[in-house]
Amino acid sequence: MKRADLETVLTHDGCEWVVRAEGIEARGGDWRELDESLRRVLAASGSYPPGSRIRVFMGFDFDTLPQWLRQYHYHYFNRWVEITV
Amino acid sequence: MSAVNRRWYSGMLSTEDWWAVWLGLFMFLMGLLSIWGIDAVGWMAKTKTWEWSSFWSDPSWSKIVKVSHGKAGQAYEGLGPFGSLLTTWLVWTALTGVGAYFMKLNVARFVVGFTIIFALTWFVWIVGHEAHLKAPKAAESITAPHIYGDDVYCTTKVHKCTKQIKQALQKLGVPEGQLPSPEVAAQAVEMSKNAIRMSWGLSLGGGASYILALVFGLVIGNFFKGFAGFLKEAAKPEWYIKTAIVYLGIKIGLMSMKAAGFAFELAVAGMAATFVAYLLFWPIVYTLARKGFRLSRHASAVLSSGISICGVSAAIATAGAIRAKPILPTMVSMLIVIFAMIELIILPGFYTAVAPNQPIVNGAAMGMTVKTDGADAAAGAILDQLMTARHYQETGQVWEEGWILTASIVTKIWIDMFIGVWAFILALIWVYRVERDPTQMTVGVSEVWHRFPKFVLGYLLAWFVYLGIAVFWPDVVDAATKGAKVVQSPMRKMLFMMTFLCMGIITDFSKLKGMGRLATLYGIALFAIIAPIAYFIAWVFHRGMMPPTASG
Repeated sequence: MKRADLETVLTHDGCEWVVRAEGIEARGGDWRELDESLRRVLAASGSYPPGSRIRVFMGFDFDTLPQWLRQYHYHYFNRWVEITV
Repeated sequence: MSAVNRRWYSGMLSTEDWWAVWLGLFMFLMGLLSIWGIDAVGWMAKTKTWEWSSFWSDPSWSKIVKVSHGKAGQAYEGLGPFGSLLTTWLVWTALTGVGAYFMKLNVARFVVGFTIIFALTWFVWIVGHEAHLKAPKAAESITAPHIYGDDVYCTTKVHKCTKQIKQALQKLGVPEGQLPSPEVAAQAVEMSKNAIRMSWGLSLGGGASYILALVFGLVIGNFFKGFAGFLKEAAKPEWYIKTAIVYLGIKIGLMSMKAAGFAFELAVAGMAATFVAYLLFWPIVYTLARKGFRLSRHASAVLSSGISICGVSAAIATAGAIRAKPILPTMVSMLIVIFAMIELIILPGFYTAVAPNQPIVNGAAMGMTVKTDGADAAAGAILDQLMTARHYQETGQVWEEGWILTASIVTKIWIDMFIGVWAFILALIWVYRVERDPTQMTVGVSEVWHRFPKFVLGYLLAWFVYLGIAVFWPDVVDAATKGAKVVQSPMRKMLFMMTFLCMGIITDFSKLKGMGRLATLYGIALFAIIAPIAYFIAWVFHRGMMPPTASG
């Protein structure tokens, strides 16, 4: 299993992708927006020195899909990104 | 709490796919105990073929239901038919209730829903076993109607009926090989326990129950929507059918003991056909969606996988692979579920009518055409019953039950197993060629495992264990078969019946309204492209393959 500097949970609220971890929340209509939003949130958190590269794991929360659908398949996707703060 | 698949064992206690494996393997192991003389499954109730005038003249549970103990010992003799039915309800409610708890369903609502579905299933199953609907004509009525009359039907398997009539003829002094007079023949029929005379009969075999369950479920799903909504917590066709498919592994293991070569040939042909079908279906439908219907790349890819590969799971896997918004696979899945029901209603009867001499081709084509595992297994089961019954009526020859169903399941299982690989390849193409996302590091190979259908593991394990017993421990085959027969027959069939009923309950045709272009494209692609090509490919790889004939 690959190691991540930050483990997050990914959902979609019908309009935007939402990434959450402890004390962190970022949103975006597409991936670029989401990653940029996350970069800003991480920079503002002060937990990472400027210029550091962070491996982020975004695990999709399958409970986002309607319950009737979950019986057919139980995995959507997980996403690995590298963000420079 | 979130449901993220982070580790290889994620979902083992919380998904229906894994719970199909646990329920499947639990009963598989209980059945195997018969090797050591322990009957842990003989309490299971099973249906009997009954005739309504005989039933109403003296109604009793013993005329319509019996205990399975005959196959696996006498340990449950004292239960009686009704006690056996109650025990069956109790055991299955407890087992599925535990699964419901771990899957975070509303357990109280699940148990009530399950109980209602269980009761409805058994009601429909028993009705479907009424002799006028189910019973096949006796071989004697087909081959020598001038002596026996053409109105003799069997309330058990045909070869058993023939054996009983032969024994009766011997008792009446008719030497073997000599035809009796009509009067003696009539006496022999009278003496046979399972031969009855009826003025009419549809001879649908087990297909009658399956069709009734489907119709019953559809009536609830479309005309009693409030009731259907209440039952939805327990209406889990995919869970029930995947568990049943694990038990089908036992059946195929038992069948492989007699026809290992044919089983292997079927598996290889199914894999080859599936591979070719993949390469043809997806690009054709994707091109049609993009050029003909001007759909977006995302919608075209998800729809193409849904129609071409394996329905809902492929649509979700593909949407995940290309990181589409969750609303897209949800909409496409609604279409798939409804169209799968339409296919299930049309195709078994259609294939039986137009190609009665191509049983295995028909089964394999069904596996490649009908989307969703539940609908495919259901369609395969109906096809198996209809084709076997028709072949018998036309030729007097009995095909061994289950091979046509197996052909449809084998192709579907190959398709299911390929989904993860296909989605992984698509994810790579999407990330590195289509989106060219600079922050995306890689696509994890673990995605293939997360998308692998786990129930297939149970199916293969059950199959190979029974095959292994036949090859390495032939001395225990008889003992192993006793327990296996209960699991692979009444238990598997009950879960099939519940699947039929539940599929009807969750299918609401009114949801097609407002689907517009998507529904039109789906219908055109399915019936004008997928079905004919699937049939052709099935014919190329399976032509000439015939089910073994049943022996006494």
